[in-house]
Amino acid sequence: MFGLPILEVAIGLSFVYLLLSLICTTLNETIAGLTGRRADLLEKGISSLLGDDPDLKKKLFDHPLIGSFEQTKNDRPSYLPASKFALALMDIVTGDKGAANDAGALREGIKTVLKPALRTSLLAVLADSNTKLKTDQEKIEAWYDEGMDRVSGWYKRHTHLWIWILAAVITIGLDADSVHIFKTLWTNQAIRTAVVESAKRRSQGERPEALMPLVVHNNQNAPKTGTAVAPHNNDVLTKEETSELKDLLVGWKDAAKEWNGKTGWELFGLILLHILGLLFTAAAVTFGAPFWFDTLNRFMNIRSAGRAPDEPRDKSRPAPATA
Amino acid sequence: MKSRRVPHFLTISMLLFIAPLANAQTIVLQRTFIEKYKNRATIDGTFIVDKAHPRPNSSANDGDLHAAGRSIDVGLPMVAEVMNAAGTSQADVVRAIHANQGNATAVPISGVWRIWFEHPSRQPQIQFDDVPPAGNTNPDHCFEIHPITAYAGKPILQSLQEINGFTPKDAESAFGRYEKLSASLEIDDQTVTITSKQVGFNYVKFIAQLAGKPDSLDNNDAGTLDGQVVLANVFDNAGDAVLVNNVRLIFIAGTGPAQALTNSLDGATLELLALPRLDLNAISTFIDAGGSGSVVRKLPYEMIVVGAKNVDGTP
Repeated sequence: MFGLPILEVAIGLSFVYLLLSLICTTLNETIAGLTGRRADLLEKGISSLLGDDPDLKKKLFDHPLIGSFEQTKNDRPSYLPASKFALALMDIVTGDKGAANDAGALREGIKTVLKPALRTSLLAVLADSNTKLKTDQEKIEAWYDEGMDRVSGWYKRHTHLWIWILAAVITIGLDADSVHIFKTLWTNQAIRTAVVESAKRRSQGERPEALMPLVVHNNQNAPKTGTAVAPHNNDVLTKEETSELKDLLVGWKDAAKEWNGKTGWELFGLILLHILGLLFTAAAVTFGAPFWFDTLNRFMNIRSAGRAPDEPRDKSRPAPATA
Repeated sequence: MKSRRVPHFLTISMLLFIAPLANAQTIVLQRTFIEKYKNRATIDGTFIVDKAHPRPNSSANDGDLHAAGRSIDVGLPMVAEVMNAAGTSQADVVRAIHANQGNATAVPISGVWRIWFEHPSRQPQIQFDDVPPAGNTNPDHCFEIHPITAYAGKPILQSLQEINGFTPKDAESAFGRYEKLSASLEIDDQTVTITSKQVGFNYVKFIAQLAGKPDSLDNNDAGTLDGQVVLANVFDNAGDAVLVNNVRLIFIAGTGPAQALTNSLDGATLELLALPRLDLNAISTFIDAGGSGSVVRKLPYEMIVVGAKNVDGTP
């Protein structure tokens, strides 16, 4: 094991970026949930598929098959399986003319119920000669799935934009200046040591996007007992991690004190460096928590204190208990 | 920097996982039930057979006989299944089940309790609410007595063995699926509401290496040994690399697999046939440690061993 200061600084920076990325992801998901971003985009995608026919869209969302996917009576679904969409649409189109899967009634309904653009699309979909799609329902499901691929693309682009905005807000709000963090880690060994220890604990945990188990079995001779995983701790960061972030981030008040009394080029240089440090942090945060978790593990692995995430587990080493 | 508390992780977890759980099954279990069965392999009670398959599945299709019905000891829509019923060795019990079908008689039954989200219902199933008679042999349910170990006083512990002619799921497919399952839990003073997505992968064959010593599971009501539990590491199909560590394996007292475990040395490697079920012990441990409110976590599961043989020469 060796503890080169520069390696420990790299670990510290990766750790800070990981924590800030976690906060960013958390806020993004909170906002997505509160604003119904997924539901909005799903509705927009379905509306586009249905030729922007508001009556048809309303009938579809009011259909009992779709209603069961709504979280509450007034909410819209944020997820809709292709089979339910296809069945509901077929049921609406066939109406009283026949069962939803009646091929004749379906085609008749398409010609009479739907608007021209959608009529053309659906008749083309049903005429698809792809041999893998045997029934009308399967053909409509495949058409819906293609439409949902487009919705996924929209969601990714929206999310990316929001991540950039939130990364900037978090970085400026917390005054997370990479230059200052680097200087602190480089010059203050006590902080550096504490941060590396905390980073080590974080690197040995689950990947950020992984689900936590309820319990881990850490005594293999006591299968009836286990240790509950964070039954009280529902926060993104531990108290120690929050405290270490406070030690590393300069804060606007302290930055202002540092600039106090400086004038001219000296002040300009300090402010420019501060802005560059903030920009660097914001850009780093947009890489996301999984990226920084992997980077942190690689540095920890070099320091012989962690496991690279892609390193295969061997039988002699305990892996995280799961079941 | 000002001290900043980051938002509640719970909210995020719920938001992240609400959408995928939209078509999931919800069951509401009484906490007293969880406490009673968290360290039990089996359940004893009575069972009313509403509908039973006229014949067992063929061996190629798992060889089980399904019977749908009700039990006041369970209080949920349920089925009970006899393993290895395709041959003649379980004929007495199969006949008894058919004889009781539809006559609303509560007959003594013992078997492995099993909660698994295999046949989801659109409506939440609340334990000890009224359970209507089953309308067919496979109603929406997530509670099973599977396999049955005794019915109407006739023990069939020997039915827990390999199923000749049946191809079980492989380890990588099955455990790959189990490990990705999430569950939403809402814990209150009396109940735990569990929601999870539909999943099958019933019978799975895999290689496991015992990771520790077995511990006994006791039937305190009867004062008898109910089974054993042991932690084991599950290997991939080739038997080269560990897929999952420290999986709880449940062995049922008096069965061939339990005997194979007794004969195994520390760290022995076994080839197992098993069924997954919800791990009530994990839920209880989490609550005991102060877990409350709503959480989204990995679905806790354990494996019921119904077939076992040593593969490393252990007697």
